Amino acid sequence: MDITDLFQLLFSGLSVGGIYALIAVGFVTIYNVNGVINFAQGEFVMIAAMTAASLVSAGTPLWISAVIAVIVAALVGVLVQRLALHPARLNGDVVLLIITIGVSTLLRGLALMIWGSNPKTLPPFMKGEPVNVLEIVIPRQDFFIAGIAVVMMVLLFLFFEKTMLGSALRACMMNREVSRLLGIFPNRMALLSFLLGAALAGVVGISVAPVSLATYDMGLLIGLKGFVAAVLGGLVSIPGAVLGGILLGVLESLGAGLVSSGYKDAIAFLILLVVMVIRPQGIFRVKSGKRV
Amino acid sequence: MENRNEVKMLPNDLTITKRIGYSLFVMVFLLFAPLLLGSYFTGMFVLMGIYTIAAVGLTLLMGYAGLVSLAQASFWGIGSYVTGIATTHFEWNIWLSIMLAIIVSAVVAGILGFVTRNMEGHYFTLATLGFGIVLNIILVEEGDWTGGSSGMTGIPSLSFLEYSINSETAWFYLIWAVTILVLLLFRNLVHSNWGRNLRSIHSSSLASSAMGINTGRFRLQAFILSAVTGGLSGALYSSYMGFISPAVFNFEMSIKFVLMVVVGGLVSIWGAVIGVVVVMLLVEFLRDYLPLIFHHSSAAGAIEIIFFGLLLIIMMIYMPGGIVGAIENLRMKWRGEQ
Repeated sequence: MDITDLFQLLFSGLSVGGIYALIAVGFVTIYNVNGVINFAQGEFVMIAAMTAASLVSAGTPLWISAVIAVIVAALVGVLVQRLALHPARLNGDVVLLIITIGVSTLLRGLALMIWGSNPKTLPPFMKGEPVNVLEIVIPRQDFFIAGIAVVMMVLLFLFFEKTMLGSALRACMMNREVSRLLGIFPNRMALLSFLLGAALAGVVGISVAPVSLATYDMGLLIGLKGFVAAVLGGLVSIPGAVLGGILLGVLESLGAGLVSSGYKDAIAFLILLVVMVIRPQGIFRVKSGKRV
Repeated sequence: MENRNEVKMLPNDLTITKRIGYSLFVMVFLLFAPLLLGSYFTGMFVLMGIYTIAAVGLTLLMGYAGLVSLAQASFWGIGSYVTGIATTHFEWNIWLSIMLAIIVSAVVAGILGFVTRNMEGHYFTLATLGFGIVLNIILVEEGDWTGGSSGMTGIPSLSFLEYSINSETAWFYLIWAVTILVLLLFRNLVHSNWGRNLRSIHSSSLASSAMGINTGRFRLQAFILSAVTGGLSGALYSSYMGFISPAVFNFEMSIKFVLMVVVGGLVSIWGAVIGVVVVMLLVEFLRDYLPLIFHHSSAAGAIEIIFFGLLLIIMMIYMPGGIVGAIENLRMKWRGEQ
């Protein structure tokens, strides 16, 4: 293994890391507003990927299918919040957690019924030969993935920091009860968090579908990795989730390249366990203290 | 967040005469069941007994410790594969292999549980999900030991000295004897000092630790116990079927275990047996009748998954106490009107 191989792994890790970061942001937003880890997060990714793939194979232009797919994922997210979580919002954590597990199972079953179990492909958004930069071969779709991750991060930053709605959502994430006193409707924010989380997952879905095939059960693994990224970042902060995602992508890519690719998917889980033992509050410094 | 509608635990308020009555009824039913059911349904009841053993442990973990495990099928798989490997690769005696299966399940759960013992519930759930995925990868990758994705065959049936258990009826009696033993054991455990501590942790982990209960230790013990039932159940399963493959121990099966526990009711150990019977009969019904409605059988698998998901959501929204909880509510209402 020489230095160019290392850079190769590093770059592909960075672009995958951007993907994990977007899912992690969705996890963190939904968790802090609704008080539940959304198990169906990965299923939103799958829905967008499958919708885009089947629209394209039906003859719709690629970019239009992508936009429709993200909208469909966001709508499914809103429906899930309204129909499944809202009616049970006063119940305990276990009940809510089991509901999202149920939602994830239901969506997977529906996908299997609608699209079948055969993998689907989506053409890459950037076509052509891989680019050669200083002996490093980079597929063009990786540029697209990295680019879209950066664009989404900037948009998220603007939304959370510069808009009234984003500030309200952030306030609700910090403290639901106090934000209600300040005139923010937690129920609307819960809906907004699902809209945002599912839309982000949808963007992830259309970005990864050209690289790894879209299947009805892809959501499980990609959702778990998004969660690991969120845990790395401490599960309460959005910048933490972004850094956690990028770190996970790089570690996973290096691990798969240097150790074994058969066990690539086990690396994320190993990282999860290690973080839980060493730094359960996340690897970045965040203010501690537990909500009771 | 406030827990206004938290699931309430059932009191143990049956009178001694009622208890004897129920027990006698169950005994008589089980004694004559194989004669009445015919060999197909007897076989199904053997499986129900096996599932119940694993579901009891999961009920303890979910209902009493408040932890949702998505790895019960994985411990089930560990039990099956340890039994399979010990009996076919090392030609161990089947009883010894089952012992080993239980020990291995407990040790694996001990390690995983130790890491997650002080974590909040959702960390634990996702850690178990990750563990399940990793275990499935291992089962497929380590083909020399596990037979890869095609699985293992030739796991011997249980035997006493010369007499080997072959008929469905013999299996029925054996499995249900074990199941009832496990049920009674867990019932006593839940109503013991240990069980009360566990329940107090579920109601408020913070208050219990303020009272001096080592919450992490109790959670760990509950998880190990649930893994032991999973391992035992899996060991019996592999011996009963004689054949195992990784596809049986996947995520869908873990969901099915959670569903069985939820349908039966998190509030009582007996919920496990009710949940298993109801879910198994519903699945059987779906398999028989859905292909008739949809005119092709390939949709049946998808519809089963959809049904599992819908049932989980609906149960949690409208009947968080499961069937046992609903019966209890009706009983209370009826008593109140008298």
